[in-house]
Amino acid sequence: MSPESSICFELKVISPTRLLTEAKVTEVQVPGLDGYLGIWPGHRPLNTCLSRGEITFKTTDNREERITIKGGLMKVEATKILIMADLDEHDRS
Amino acid sequence: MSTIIDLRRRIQSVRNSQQVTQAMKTVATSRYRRAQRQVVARRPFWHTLPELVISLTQEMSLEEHPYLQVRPEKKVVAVIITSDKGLCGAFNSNLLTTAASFLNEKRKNSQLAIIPIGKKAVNFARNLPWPVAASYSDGVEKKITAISRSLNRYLDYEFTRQNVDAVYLLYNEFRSIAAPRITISRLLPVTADSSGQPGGQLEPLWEQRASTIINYLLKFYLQAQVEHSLLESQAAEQAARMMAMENASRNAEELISDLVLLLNKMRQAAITKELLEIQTTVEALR
Repeated sequence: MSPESSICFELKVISPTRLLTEAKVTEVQVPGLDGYLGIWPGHRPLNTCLSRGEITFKTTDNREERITIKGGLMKVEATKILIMADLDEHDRS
Repeated sequence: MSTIIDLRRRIQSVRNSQQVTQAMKTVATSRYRRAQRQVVARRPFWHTLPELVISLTQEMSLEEHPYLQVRPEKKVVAVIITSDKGLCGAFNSNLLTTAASFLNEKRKNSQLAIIPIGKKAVNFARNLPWPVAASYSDGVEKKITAISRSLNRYLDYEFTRQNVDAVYLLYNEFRSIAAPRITISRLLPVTADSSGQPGGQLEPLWEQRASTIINYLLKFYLQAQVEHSLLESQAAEQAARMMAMENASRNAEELISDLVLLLNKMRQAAITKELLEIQTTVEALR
């Protein structure tokens, strides 16, 4: 664990059509290509592809939220997680 | 007498045109709002994607992906995006003028092919000496996903097989309502500009092979880029049409007020003349 690792990090989930979530979170679970991955604060930087499944995360005020994705890409940095998600969305509105 | 009637008719016809322009303005406004909403909603993705591509290619420090290969530009494809319909001021003509000079510049060293999107671009390409690789028109706004997908497939195929060395995208970028900005951007090869700072202190882990990730990302990137520019162009088009129709309505208003003034003067002149006649007759009878 890196020393400056705080108790939370910033999660940003973006789809091609919009910004899905921007939140401070304490815990994230994502569907990796080989099964679910859990990311906690202090995780080491990581780049990975995601498969179809559900992203689950817990915000700092202890709410749990889910987002269903079709695939995507995750980039974990010291205090930031960025997920480019591909969704089943065809809304053109 | 007949001129007064003519004048009335003219006023009526200007009024009719004004109604039409006003209606078109209303339609353009609502379309513009929708397009703008889409563009704005997509911006977060837009701002992150290039960053991500750059930072990933840097970390990967290998440039073996075909999209990243920079070759001498022997064969160039220019994708030109305009609107299907006119009546939007200088929106299309400005872009096409820029496109013409861009193509003239490029023809010196490379072989050209053109992909026009939108009726105006298709007509423009018809008069050019270069081959048209593909063209899309009629209801472009309803087929954005389909167009970007098919274009993506085509470009991917040609570029990976080195049939094409560079792809340029020419379109109107939506900046503000007042004026769109003509943008020429290079779609392929993707250039990772190396000015950015290196990432964190820790070497990131790569869950998969770096090339898998970059493959995934670049596939995403190309399609999203095309889709994005189509949307930008659309928002800009509607904004331009809105402005054009606004101006047309205003001009019609001015014309009407001029004509009405003229009409009133003529009517007054006719009345005065008649009065004068009556008076002269009365004088004569006395």
